[in-house]
Amino acid sequence: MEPHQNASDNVDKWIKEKKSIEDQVEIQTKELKEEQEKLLSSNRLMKGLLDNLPIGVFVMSAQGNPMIMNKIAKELSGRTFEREDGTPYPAEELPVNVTIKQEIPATRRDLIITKVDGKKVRLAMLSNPVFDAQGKLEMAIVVLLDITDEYFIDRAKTEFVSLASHQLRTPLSAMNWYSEMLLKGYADPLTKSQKNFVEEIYKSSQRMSDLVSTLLNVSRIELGSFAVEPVQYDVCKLINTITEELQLQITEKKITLVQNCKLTQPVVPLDPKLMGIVIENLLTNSIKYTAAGGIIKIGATSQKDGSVVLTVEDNGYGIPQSEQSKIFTKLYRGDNIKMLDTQGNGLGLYMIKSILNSSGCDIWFESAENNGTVFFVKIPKKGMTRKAGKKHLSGMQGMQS
Amino acid sequence: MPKSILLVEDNEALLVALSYSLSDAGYSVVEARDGNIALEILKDKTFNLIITDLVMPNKNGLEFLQELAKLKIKTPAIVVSNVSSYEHKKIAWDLGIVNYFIKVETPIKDIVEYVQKFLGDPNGK
Repeated sequence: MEPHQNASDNVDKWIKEKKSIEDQVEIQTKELKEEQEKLLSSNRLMKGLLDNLPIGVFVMSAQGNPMIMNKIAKELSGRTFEREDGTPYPAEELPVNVTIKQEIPATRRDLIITKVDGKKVRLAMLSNPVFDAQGKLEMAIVVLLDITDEYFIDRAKTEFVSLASHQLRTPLSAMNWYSEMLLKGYADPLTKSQKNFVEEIYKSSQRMSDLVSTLLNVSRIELGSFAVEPVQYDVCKLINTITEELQLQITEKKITLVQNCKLTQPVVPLDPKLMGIVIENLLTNSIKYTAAGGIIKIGATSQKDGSVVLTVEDNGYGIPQSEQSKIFTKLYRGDNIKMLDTQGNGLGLYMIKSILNSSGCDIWFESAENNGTVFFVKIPKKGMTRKAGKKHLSGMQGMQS
Repeated sequence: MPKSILLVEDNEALLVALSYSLSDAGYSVVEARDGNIALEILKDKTFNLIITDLVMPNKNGLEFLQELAKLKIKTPAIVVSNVSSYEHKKIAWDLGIVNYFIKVETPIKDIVEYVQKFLGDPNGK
């Protein structure tokens, strides 16, 4: 082959290669542009999505620096955080801080924030940790919900329940009193079956009265309008009184009741009515959820720190492990006892936990299904905390006697 | 003359039930449907005991108790009401009542027994 022919081939080859490279560059550039466009578009999508979400979202790095904050999260940034009762919300209990410090998901907490413009907003905050491939905490994703409207709607509903419960009391009082009078023979002496029927009416009416009183108490607790009025009171005497009141039910179920109240200082500042509700509920539950012939132990012991721990223990049906976390929630009823007792309303434990928590006391339990349950109530050394009642619906306008 | 009770209650059914039970126990019962009527009656009659409801038209129970205090009427008074809120109870206790019953939670028998304990024999001294 001629030398110039050889060189020309090389040039052709080179031109082809160059063309191929250029084509590749062009393709890759196009691909890159497409990728860039995709990235930009997904970025826009992400930002648009985040900013248009009806909830606040913000991401905090493991070091505590804010990384991303959507529009609503910015609007919901608070200057101060408060609890429902107006006391400051401790920073370490805020869900975001719980997640970052303890590396765990933090359940919803409700708080009140004062925004930069001075407006108060009720906020629900929850937070979840995100870990890197090595399992190290990378960031916390925090969700914020403005629950101001929800709060006021819920409050209006509670006020309605409160008013309705109060109004139901008048006709119930008449039913109670007139059944009682009929049973007493005020009208004319009743025949045996008439007496049985009226007794049923009387019992049902009283059950309804109890339910209405519980509803009223629960709505008062939710409205924060109930008062705690501690007086110097003997815990053992209170236990004794409640036990005597429930003696009939205890005897009827052939339950052995063991009372053991050993206190170095039995007189404690407590609200006898509220603590009475607590003890009565716990003891009634034990009676209800213990088989006939069972054993219930009720007592109180003095602790080293000066507090009093009251216990109600039974060898009854117990609370299944899977349900133990739910027992203090409103309207909860244990799956294993719904069939055994159809009268329960699922409000008792919710109510007493609310009473105890808002008066500086504590309640917890230990339970095993088919073995029984022990409830513990701790009254601190200083006793129950005083709380003034707030005036709400109890204003008498619009009420019937 | 048996010992006398002024019963102030606007609900007809409850008024009749209480009045009947107290009369059956031997007391002389005079009925008033609100605080104003009760004050009118008190102008020319004295009683051994006053039993009053709280939620009533025209003059409610708390206003009635306040008026009694103002008029220096020392007749002992009991509240029988379905109002169970702390602040109303406190106002009533501060006005010097001798007891407070919540109707729906109290059998009529308990109210009568309390009155019997408080006043003693209807025809005694």
